Amino acid sequence: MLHDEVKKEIEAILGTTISFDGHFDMVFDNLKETRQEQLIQWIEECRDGKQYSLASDKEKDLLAFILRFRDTNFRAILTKKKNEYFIALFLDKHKYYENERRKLGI
Amino acid sequence: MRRLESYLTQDNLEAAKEQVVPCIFSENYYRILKAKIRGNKLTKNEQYYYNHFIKKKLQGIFNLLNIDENIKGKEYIKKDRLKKAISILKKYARKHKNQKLLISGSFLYNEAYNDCDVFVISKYKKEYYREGKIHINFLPESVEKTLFFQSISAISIANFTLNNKVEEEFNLSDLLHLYEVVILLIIQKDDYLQELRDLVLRLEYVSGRVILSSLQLKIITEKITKSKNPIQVIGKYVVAMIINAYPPAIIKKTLTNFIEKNSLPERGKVQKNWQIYNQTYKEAKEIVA
Repeated sequence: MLHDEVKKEIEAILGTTISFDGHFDMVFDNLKETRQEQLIQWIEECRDGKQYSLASDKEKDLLAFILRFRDTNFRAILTKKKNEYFIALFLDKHKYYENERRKLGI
Repeated sequence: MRRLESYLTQDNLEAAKEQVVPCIFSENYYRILKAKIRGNKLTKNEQYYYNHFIKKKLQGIFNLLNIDENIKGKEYIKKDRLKKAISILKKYARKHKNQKLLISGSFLYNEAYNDCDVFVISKYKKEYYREGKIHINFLPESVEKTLFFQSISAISIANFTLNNKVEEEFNLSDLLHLYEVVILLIIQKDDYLQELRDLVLRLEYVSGRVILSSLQLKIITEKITKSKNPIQVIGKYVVAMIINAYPPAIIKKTLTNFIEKNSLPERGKVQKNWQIYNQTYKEAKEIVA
């Protein structure tokens, strides 16, 4: 699956408020098909409240879900306003994810 | 050329004085060399003697003895790997001319190893590449002052002088965030080793300024991952480390903030991980109270 298609699919799951951060397109296109499917499934579980989140100490009511892909150094962070809407899906290498976590306060 | 004087210390120079003076260096040259090692500013004359006579003699001695590497943690390095590592270092030093190279990792000290990590410190961003079992990783110049680099270089072979300074600070919030990620990954049944290694390395550093080598780090993280209840072990470990690392007022304030942020989950949801975090934070708070 290519990144343009998946963005539409993710918007269908989380709503059109969602934005895509990090080197999303490049990282997504580099994921194996099984990992791409894992990402979609994880997003659905986040929407359905089946995944645990982290709370930010920088921004009030900001929650973040984290996905660590096995065998790669790619990470995903999905942010959400507590009890409300999803904000952004970040997908990138470990070092950028560290910076993103620091920025978000998670 | 690397700095020759980096191989000498004041102590070993002092200890070898009887053998060195006057056979190799005159009393005056010895004094200049000592001043140079101490980091004193040399006069123009002394600088001339140093560059034209003393340095050349040192270079000759090093060439004669085939001293060409900086080895740290030699007692942990397997003998056969030391030879291999030196030849790898020489090979890649020719390929990456005038660059700082370092070999580190389990290749040096473990019977079984998957690959050999060669780190090249480079001004320019370059892509990692591999040649068989040899992995070439490029690191920016700024890496030398990081805790990560000090840790990987604690057992290493390099073609340059390793400086022992860490110029990184870790505040309590950063460590607690990392702790929360580790626990979350465990609950999610994800691989959490890399995050755990970062957490242990940073906790040991902030608590006692201890810089763990990659071998020590491996031993500690293996003990944790193989324990019956890693979540509990990590929680106790975090408490023990942070209570010594920061002033009580900062600990109390930060923990209070973290307990508060983890107190009100989304409607109708139980956050198992938040309960674990807050239990750890409350334990730490009780100790510093």
